[in-house]
Amino acid sequence: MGNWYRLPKSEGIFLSAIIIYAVIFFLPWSYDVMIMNITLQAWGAYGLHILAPVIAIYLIMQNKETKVTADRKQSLDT
Amino acid sequence: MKTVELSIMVVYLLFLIVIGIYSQRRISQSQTGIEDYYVAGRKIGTGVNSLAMLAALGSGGSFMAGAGTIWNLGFPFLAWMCAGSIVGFTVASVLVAKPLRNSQKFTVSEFLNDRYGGLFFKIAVPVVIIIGSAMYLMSQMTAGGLIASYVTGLSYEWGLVIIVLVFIFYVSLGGMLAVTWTNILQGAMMVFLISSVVIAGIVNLPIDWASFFVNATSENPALGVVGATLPVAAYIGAFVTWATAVCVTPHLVMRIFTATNARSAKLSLNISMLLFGILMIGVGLVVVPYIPTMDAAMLANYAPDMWLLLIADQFFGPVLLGIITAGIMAAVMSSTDALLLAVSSAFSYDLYKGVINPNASRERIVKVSMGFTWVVGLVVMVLSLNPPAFLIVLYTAAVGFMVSSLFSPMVLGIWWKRSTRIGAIVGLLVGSISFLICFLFFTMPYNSEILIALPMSLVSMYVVSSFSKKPSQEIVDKMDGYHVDM
Repeated sequence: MGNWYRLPKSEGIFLSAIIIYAVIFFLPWSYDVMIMNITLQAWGAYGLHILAPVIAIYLIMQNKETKVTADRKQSLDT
Repeated sequence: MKTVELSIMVVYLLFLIVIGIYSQRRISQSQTGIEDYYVAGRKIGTGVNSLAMLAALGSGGSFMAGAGTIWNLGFPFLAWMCAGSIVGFTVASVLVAKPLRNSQKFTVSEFLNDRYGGLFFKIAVPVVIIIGSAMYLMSQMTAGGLIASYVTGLSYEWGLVIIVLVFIFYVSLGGMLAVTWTNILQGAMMVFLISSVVIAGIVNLPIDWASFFVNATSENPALGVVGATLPVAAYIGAFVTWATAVCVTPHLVMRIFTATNARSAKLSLNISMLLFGILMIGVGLVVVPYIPTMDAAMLANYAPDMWLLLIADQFFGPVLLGIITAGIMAAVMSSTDALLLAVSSAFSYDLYKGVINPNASRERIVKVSMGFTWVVGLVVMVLSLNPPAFLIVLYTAAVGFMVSSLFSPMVLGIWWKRSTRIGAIVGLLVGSISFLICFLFFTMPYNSEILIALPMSLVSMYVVSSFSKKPSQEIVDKMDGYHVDM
């Protein structure tokens, strides 16, 4: 693993979750489940339209808050 | 001729020309001319860059053609294609935004040269970008010609010539500064345009929305069914193409270079896609059900790409429709100008300064860039006068080709210290050649070539890098610096 740069844990989990989400909806179980005559597979894609950017924005904002807290703690220690 | 709509379009086009002239004056007075020309001085804030990114992605293919494409190819295909774009920006924000922004480079090619060195990348990367982006550019110019023809009543050919001359003019003069300013305006117009049509669609619903929507699916039973229009492999191919494209597509990556810092770039990427996702859901769920209510003969007279405008025509008077038409034009032009700049910078900055004349002054590079913008713009315009029937296939193939070629060298180069120059060369060649072989010699589902070419590129680069000499400590140290929070 020494040859790889490490992704922040939350971002690594997030990327994996996106891949798993896409794989789940591409599997045949979702094809014939129809909501308003539209396959659940398509509704799954529309879910991703909102979920992916919202979670990413949350993680970026969270990252800043974590850093600010860490910086404050460090300045108190010194 | 639609006089009011045309007047608003003319005012809008004049405004773009003024921005080009103003940007050019500012660049000529600036001490950091090249930074201003290519990356807008790296001073673009989060909110503004979000609108510019939205404008760079939102194009003739998405906002303008979205409704017609859904009707013809079905909800599952377009939903996954758009999901791919949205996820692509998120993936780019995680995988490439910070290292690219921290590298202080101008172009994709320059970054790859910095990582691997050698003459191969100096030539191969700009060539891939010029071929891929020029094909992409052709589809956007065609859409621009269609709109100009719709508004002016002139033939498609004259519409195309007028529109192309305007944006070559302002891109060649103002570079990224002009593209950014016009993209901001265009992004805002797109949000206004799609929101207005969706809100008007909701207000004018003839019956409750759920029944109206289900009626549309009854009129077109293939609308929501998996595999009815295209095989599932095509959905997966479209999703993977766009989910990986943002990491390497130059006109999108260039927006990362313009950000004030890495965090701002990451936020902009995701805010722009949240807006894009909401707008595309609105188009799908509210605008598409209006299609079967339109006169079938009228729909047959216009390309499906124009159906959004025909629906808007039902809701609005000429003034608002003029603004909406300008908004659709903005969607087309914002992608076109960003692409045009990406192609011209691949030539002037990467090939001309990188290989042909390394000692060129900044004035000389900017002049070469302006000249090449005119050359490539006019050449693609001539090709677009008789657009090939397989344009959509060509355009998606263009993106797939760029991803298959550049994704492995870019992403493995950023995250894997062991990536070597020879490994990256093999990855680029295997990706691009296998994509072309699949595209040209095999009958495969639409857009699925990438599902073979991209894994082959990743595996070949990994294997060859593993067995070749490690990169120098100097390169590893440099990459370490790109991963530091700034």
